[in-house]
Amino acid sequence: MDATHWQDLTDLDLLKACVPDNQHAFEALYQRYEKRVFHYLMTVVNDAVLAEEILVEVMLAVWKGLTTFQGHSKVSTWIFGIAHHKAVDGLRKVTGQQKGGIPIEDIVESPDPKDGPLEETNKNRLAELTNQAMMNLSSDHREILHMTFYEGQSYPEISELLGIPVNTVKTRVYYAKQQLKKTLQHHGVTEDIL
Amino acid sequence: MEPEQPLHTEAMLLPGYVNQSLSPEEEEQVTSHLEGCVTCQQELQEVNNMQAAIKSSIAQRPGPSPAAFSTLMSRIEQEKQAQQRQTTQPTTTSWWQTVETAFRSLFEIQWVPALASVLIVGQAFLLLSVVNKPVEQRTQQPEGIIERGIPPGTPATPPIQIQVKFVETAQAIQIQKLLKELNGQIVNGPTTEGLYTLVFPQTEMSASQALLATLKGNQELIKNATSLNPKTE
Repeated sequence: MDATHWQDLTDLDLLKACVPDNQHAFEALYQRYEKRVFHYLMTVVNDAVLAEEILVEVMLAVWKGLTTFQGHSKVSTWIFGIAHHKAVDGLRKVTGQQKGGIPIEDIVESPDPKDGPLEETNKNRLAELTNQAMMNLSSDHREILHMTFYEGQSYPEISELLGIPVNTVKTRVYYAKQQLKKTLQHHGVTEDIL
Repeated sequence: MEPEQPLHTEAMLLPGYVNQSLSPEEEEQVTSHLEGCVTCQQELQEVNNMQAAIKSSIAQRPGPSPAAFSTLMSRIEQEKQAQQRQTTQPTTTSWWQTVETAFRSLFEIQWVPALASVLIVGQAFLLLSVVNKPVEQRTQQPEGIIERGIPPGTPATPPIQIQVKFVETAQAIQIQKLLKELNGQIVNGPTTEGLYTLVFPQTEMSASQALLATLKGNQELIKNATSLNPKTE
């Protein structure tokens, strides 16, 4: 079965194709989720080395759970649910320690004005500022903004994933957004840009 | 600082409205509200811009290094090997383990106290049954010929007990004949002095004296005779 075929499969079909022990299918599943899960983990733990370690743990747990996945939730909700728990564990381990990872602002390359038109540079600058502002928020707020605006998860999905009521999800998203807006304004981003 | 409360409940739904994840009912509710609410229209614009900024900022991040996948596959291989060890180990040693387990279970320490208790209780019952058995059922054959035991009698009339010493020339058959005539039995003896204890069923109080006189009178067989019953002395 070629790589093109794997891309055509839905998440659920790809997951089923991984059983029993189809390494090619699992590799395709990994490739489909590696960046998404890694980005999510970066948002939560803000440490590239730790995020990569947790990514391995998450995908190992996915591999172990291939035969037990019931299909009651979406595959993505299941995987991000695992990622959430692993990230919480990871954060707990580093609590009280000096975070030794690479800060997100150091990973994101600063835009070079020579690279493109001014508009593109401003866009990149806004993205960089948004990154920095996000990292000033609590991990709960960062996580819920990531889930809502980057992953496009619905309130019920986030509720299931985080194990909190739907109404709590709605209020948390709202207040996280308000906090981000304030932080961006503190960084000099004016309301007309937002 | 107190968080700013939304003016309208629909404002709470705007992030879901923007990422198109609301239910059809909620979406209809927000759409209707937006038509007449300028504040929420501005809020919607803000949420839209924020979503674009967040998407853009996260999309700029690099992905994980290729080493992550290598590490993952290595971990999976380790897991597979561990699983194989778990499934193969019992089959290679199964017959021996089965036998060993069966024998071990026989000597499990948890059975020992229970078994000991059963044996002790069993022994106690055996002992009690032997002790309570009537004396005549525990008869012996001294020197192979003389029957011993307590002759039948009523519990209200204790048997007559007489200690005798037979003459050296007395024959066993002669002694047996005498005891049969007098309805007596040897229940003890000989002691180191050569004394035997004879028991006779008592029918009346005077029988004891008469019996003692009879025995003493039989000098052919009996050297001396003494009553062991206090009242007969």
